Amino acid sequence: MSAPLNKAPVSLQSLDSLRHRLNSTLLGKPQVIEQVLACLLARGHLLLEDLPGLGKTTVAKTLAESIGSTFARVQCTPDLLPGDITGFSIFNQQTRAFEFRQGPVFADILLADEINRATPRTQSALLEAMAEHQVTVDNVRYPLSKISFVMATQNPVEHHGTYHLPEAQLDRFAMKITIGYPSPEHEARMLAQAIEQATTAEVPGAPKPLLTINELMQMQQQVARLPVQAQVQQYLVALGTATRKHRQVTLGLSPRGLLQWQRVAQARAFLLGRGFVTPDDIQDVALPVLSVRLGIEPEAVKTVIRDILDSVPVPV
Amino acid sequence: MAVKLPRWQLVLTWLLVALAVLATELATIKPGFAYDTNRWLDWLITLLLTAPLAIMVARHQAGKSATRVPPVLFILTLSLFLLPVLMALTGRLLGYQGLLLEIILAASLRNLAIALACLVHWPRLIYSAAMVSLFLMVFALVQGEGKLILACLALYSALGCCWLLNWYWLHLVKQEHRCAAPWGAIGLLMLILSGILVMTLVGPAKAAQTLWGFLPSSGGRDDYDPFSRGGVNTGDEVIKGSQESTSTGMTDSDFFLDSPDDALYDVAHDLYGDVIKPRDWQRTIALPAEKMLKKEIIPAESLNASKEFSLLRQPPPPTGEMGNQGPSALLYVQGRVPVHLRLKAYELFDGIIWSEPEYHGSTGDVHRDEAPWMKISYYQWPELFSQPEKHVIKIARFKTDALPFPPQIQRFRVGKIHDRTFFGWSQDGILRMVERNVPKGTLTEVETAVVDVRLLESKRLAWDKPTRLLNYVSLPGIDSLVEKLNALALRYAGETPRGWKQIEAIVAGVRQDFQLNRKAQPPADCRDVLSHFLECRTGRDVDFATLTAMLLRTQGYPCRVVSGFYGDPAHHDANTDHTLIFKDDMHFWVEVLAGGKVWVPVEPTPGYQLASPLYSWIDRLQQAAAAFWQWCLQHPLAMALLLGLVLAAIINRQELLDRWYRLRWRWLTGQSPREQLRFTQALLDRRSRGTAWQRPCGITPSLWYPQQCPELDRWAAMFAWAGYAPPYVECPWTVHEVTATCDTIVQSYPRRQVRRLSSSQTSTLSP
Repeated sequence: MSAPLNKAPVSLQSLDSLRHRLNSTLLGKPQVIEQVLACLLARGHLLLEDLPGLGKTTVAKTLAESIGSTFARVQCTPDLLPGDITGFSIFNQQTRAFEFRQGPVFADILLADEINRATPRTQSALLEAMAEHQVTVDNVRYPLSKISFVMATQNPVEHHGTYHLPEAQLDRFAMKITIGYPSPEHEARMLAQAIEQATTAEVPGAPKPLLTINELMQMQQQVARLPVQAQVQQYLVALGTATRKHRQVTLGLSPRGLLQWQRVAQARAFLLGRGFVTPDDIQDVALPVLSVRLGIEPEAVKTVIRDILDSVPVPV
Repeated sequence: MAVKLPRWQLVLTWLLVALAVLATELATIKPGFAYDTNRWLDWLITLLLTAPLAIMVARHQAGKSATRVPPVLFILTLSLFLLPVLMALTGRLLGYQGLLLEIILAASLRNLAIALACLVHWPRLIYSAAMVSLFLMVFALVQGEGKLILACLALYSALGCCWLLNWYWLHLVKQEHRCAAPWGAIGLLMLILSGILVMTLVGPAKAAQTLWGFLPSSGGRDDYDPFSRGGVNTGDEVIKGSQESTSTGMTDSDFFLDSPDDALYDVAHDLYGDVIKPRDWQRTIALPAEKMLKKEIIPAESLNASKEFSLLRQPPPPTGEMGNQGPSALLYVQGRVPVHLRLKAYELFDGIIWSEPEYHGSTGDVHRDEAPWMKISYYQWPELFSQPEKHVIKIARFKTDALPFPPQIQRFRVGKIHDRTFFGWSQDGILRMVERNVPKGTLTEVETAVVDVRLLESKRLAWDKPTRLLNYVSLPGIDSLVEKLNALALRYAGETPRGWKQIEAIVAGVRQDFQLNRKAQPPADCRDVLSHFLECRTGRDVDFATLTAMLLRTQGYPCRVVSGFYGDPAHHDANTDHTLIFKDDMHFWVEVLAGGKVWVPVEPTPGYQLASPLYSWIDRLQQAAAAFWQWCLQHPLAMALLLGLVLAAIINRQELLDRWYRLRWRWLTGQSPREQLRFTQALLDRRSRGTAWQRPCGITPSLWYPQQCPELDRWAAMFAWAGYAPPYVECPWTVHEVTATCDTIVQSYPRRQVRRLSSSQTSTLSP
């Protein structure tokens, strides 16, 4: 379903191009691409819970290249120190002074692979940077990138030697999504595409950016200003209350989570080219937004969230 | 762009204005809600001007809102405001009676409040609407009286508090200084309001009324005179007290006795003419003893004119215009009309003259009750009466010692007299003041109960021929007349069994066969007035009463003829809520002695009605149910048809509702796109109720209905805008497109179609 655009955002064509490029990179997963873009426009952070080799890094890299931003990747291991992420001060023999070396968290887009393998101390440092958009080293504050976007991954199957992320830290993520295996048709097309690229492009260069960082920031501001009617906000509040009352939910939605939910719904409406938010937007993003922060048994997540959505009447 | 006010603030303002208008109406009209033609006309023109105003405002609001009120609306508002003044001026020019200036101004402000209520979408005018309503409320409180106005005031106070709190809160929100509501102040306010309410309900009402009497205002009130305000209605007493010693005193004086007011005798003289004295040359002759013994009935011996009533009279003198002599009413009655006020009862009839009985004692006795009320205690009070009702009677220009009360007195008071020695019985059931006339201008109140004639049958009273009180079944000693009367009574009674039904049948026969003519007089030499009446078939009310009494007596029902006044509903003054009793209202009727104890009035004269019993709501419901049942039994075919129609309507109620919604859609086609889309959404929800298309509450219409029917995709996109877009987001489609899309839904997807489509989908999905 699509509706005419009521308030044309600044770079809708650029956004469509970005969407197209990401869909070309990650075949057969348009919904995942929409969720990644929604999270980016909502200024949230993304938790990808999936198996290795499904295209997480590819998506992150393509996204970074497409918006002309810097990209960094950290493979989290138990011996990873906070300084390895945030950066550290070293003594410069020439200037006879300590100099701060920025860590990967200062990149515009950071892929923290297998975040649950890092120690809680390191996780805490990363998650603090995600929440505050700044890093403090030796009592000096260093602001992060204005579009700082963290994509963290974790393996849902293998839990041996991992440190489970506590709920308070999971709440810093805007969404949790799963990519999943592509369909056989898309896998076949992917294989053919790989040979085609090797044949046609001898030295593949860096793709041209489709969006500048300033344009992205403008879009993020437009998303934040997208109007939400009072009745829709009441609906959102009722849903939040329902999460706290549901018997199968041990930890309900926090006010911060509610704010995040509204922002993601705004981003979703923006992506659809609509100038206002409808309950459909809220419902569409409910699963990725709620699954990262509600205390629900993993196997019952979808059922419980559907149950919550069904229990609250939509405003008409 | 104007500041958008919350809808419930507007609703609160409308409610305040409605309450103020209602209270003003209650204050400016009298109880009973009697509207005269001018007032209806006033309202009609007001509504005719308000309707275009409201429609224009609605259309204007449907478009883009603006801060300035369009000039057309301003002109309409001004017209409404000036309308009552113009009407009053026009009325005066045409010669109609004028209105008080305050009433005209109140009507103008009322119209202004109504107009402003239409314009409350403009935030600046919402202040004005509330202020005008407040002024109207204060006006109503000062000018009016009654519990309804107090109830309006209480409701207005509560809503007004909500309005102020909400306004205060809105301003806080507007200034972005949100703080907690002043709960302490709210609690204190509620406490004070509750206190006032409790004081009003359970407070010393009588003490308050007494205190009101001490106020130094002795003028009249609007119920006394339409141009009087704020008094306690003692003006006449105070003013005339300096001139007439009798006007304020409770006892008679020589001056009072010599007053020019009419007594019942004078009224009867003016109305029925002077008595013709029969000039019979009588000669005393000796008769055989057996003939002497036949004359059992002895005519009344009293020669006092007030103790008898002759039916043989000269035509009354012509009544000319006597000039302006002030109010000509003899009595003023407040309470339910029609009402029969007893003054005298007659027992014996000799063919020409009715005679009063000697007083044999009454069935009741007078006792003191709660001051200043007196109570009648009856030895055996039959449970034949409906709920008691009250009448207030004021004697203006009438001289009488008998208290003009309706039948079946239970309690009464005469001014503040609380001494039983002041009262006695003149005849059975007729009270009088002992050795004095009823003081003029004194308010008398009486509680009476009307006999419930339904119970007269159900209680199985004894209607046998009496063995005592034989005077009440006596007949004139004219054999030919008695035979005629007996035959006529039997004809009227027909097959009706003895009892109240038979009495009613006889009375109904008289009412049907004879005609009322106030000026009909028997010839001066007539010796048998009833025979003359039977021949002419036309006569005065006294002739009707006499004939009926005689017919009933031939069948052995003890009865009497009663004279007094008839409270005619045609003489009810809606402005003062009083019924005026004039000389022409002197009346004769018949009372039948039921069960040997209770005099039950019957009304044989056409054009006169008896007061129906005052039934409770339960009784009324029972009567209605019984009447409906009787109707059903009498009209089985119509009942079956009606039942079938009702059943068909119940079975097809959804279809009928659907047709109704389709009709409503025609009215909505001129409305804004948002309204149209919302209407169609509600319509789709209603039509799909109970079908597979029924929308789950957790799914939006814009998502659900296209899943059921892809043709609704376009409508769904439109509804998403109508349902969730902010007001300033303009409709992306033209009004014509929206109307066409909505019209498709209304016309092409009736409930039957929705059921069919949904069932076909279900059957397709099922294995």
